[in-house]
Amino acid sequence: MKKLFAAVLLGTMTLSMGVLASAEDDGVLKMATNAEFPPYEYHEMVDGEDKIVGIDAEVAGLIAEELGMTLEIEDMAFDSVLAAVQTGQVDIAMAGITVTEERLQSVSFTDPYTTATQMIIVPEGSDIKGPDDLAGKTIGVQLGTTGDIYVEDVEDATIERFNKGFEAVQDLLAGRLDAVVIDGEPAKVFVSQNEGLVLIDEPFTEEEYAIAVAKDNEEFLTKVNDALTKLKESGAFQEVVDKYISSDDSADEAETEAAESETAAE
Amino acid sequence: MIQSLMDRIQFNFIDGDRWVYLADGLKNTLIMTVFALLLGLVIGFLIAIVRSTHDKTGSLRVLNLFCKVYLTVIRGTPVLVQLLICYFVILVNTGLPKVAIAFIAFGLNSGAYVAEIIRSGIMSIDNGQFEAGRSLGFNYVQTMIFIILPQALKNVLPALGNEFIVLLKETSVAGYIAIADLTKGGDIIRSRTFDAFMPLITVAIIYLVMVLTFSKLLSILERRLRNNER
Amino acid sequence: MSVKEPLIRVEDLKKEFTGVHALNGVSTKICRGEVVFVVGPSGSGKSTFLRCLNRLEDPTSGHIYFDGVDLLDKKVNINRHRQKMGMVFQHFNLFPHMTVLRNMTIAPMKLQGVSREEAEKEAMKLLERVGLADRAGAYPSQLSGGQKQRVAIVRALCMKPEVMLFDEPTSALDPEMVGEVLQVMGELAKENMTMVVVTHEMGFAKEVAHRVLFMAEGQILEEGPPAEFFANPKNERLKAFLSKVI
Repeated sequence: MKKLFAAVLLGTMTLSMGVLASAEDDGVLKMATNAEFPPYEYHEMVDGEDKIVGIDAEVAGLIAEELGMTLEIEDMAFDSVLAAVQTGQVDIAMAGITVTEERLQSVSFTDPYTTATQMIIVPEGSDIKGPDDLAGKTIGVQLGTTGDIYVEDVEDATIERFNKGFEAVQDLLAGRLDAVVIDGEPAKVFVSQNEGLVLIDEPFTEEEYAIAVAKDNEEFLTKVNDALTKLKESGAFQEVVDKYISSDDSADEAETEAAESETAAE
Repeated sequence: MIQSLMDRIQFNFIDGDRWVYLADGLKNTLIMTVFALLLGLVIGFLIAIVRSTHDKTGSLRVLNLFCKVYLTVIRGTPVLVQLLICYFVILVNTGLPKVAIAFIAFGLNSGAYVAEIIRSGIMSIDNGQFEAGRSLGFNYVQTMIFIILPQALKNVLPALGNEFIVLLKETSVAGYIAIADLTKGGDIIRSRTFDAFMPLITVAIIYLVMVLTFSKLLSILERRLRNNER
Repeated sequence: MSVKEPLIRVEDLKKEFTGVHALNGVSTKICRGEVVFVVGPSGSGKSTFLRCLNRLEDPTSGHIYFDGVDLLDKKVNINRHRQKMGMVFQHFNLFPHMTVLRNMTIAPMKLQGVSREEAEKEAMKLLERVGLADRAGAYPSQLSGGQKQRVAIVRALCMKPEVMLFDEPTSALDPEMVGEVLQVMGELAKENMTMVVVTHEMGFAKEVAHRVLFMAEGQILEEGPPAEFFANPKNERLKAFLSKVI
């Protein structure tokens, strides 16, 4: 059994090495994402065609342009996104990924491109007023998100891990959960979409999103970082962000738009 | 090579006590499977009795029709969809724990398959057995209980065992309603370590060991029952 | 044969299977202690007639009075009356998942409230009589055909029936095993058991029957005591039948 096990393991590793070597050579920038995360990435019908849009998707397109490559997006489960980078199936991953110590063991990250918060959604009238009140509660999260990882430290909390964020929100509406901890932007969308839910002002955590690339490929990492810096300096990056999140006054409109598109994608 | 393997085991399962995800998951998987099996047996049994009584005597027409609709719907739709409907639609406001909802859904599903297995077992028993029972003065139900079912169940034991194995594996979709079963346990580790290989292979091996163990127990039981008649 | 009150009275019994008249108006009386043999070509309706007597087949019309009760009355609990009508089948129909002893004791214990001890004592006595006491713990699959049929007979006797119905009890047996079964049946007849026997064993009928019925096309065409029945048949169909089988 042990021998067989080792043989299988060896085989898999050799295979993944092979894939690793061939990536990013062919003028195609492959990006992994989990397109269920508005406004960063989500499905939308554009001219009758299903497309993955959002901040990450557009920024990735701009980076590909800078690198002289064409972008190809692969949609997968969030918990597979980093594995895809690690094994070289894709070149980069942008999925609202927060930089953590654990993740740094498996992949490298570029400079952060945005700050995101993990927010708490509760039903109206809930006795939960801030992150400290979560102790002992039943909390819904999306599996593999930073919210999932950080709520583990909440004392005596029961954690329900959903494959999709909206399912956690459904369970919150059904009264099965006390709170949902999820990224700030989608949290706003969910609250605006569903009556009877409110967002707690104080964020659960604040975190920075960055692009994940394979480890030990300094040259590629530098190239992506340079492209990112260029986009930030030229203002192109901010334009994309404004398009999706815009300033606080007009936020509602963008949210509704994102919400509608999300509903359409489901 | 061996060292890197040990490192990965350490990283995936030992660090942060991640093996607990698998242990807790295994517990939930077994709870769901066992209770779903029991529920499925009860449902399957009742349906099989109704259906074969109808086949034999032509009575119970309304109940039989009801059973047929049930079988058609359950066997014509994926178990995952049934689970989601149970969780998000039918049983949404019941306040039942999700593991209970899951074994109800899996039990309802399994019941349909068990029903057809048991029915085929009943129909496979020679009609002479039925007549012998009735001629001694047993009524229909007594004849079923004392004479037909013991033989029918023994005949379909392998098929029922197979259904149990299918059920055990099918519970792996429970993660869709955020139940931390064995598969989900592996997924959680995967989401923490970003290593697909170790958690998935380990989960697969645990399922395989359970299935092999159960198959072995079943064949021992079958041999025992057969010896009784030789 | 002395005059006895009829235990079973059959009046104008008809049985129709989708378009076929299996029984076409059968009437007869069977008295207590009488041994009646039913013979006839296959398809004559003789097995259907026998199976109608305890309603394993439901007759289409007519009456069957058993001990004065009309068995075809919808209000009659047929299960109660079947307990008093033992039946022996061509293919034995022993319960393969039970030992010989259990085959015999289950019905008295479950249906008549007899204690296990008493039921087993009675069963052993009967097994002794048919020479199978040593096979009490065996399963049916371990018995020969003749042994199986002897067990089937004593299984029915365990219920202390008032009549025994035999449906071709030797037809599925190898020739060398027919004798042992007929011997048991002969002894039963001597003990004044009321018996209705459907069979092809003409020699045996001649020997033990009080009366023989000849059936063809769902009707009784001739009946009489065996001496006259076999020596002096009047019906042409019966003559033709006897010339073929004897």
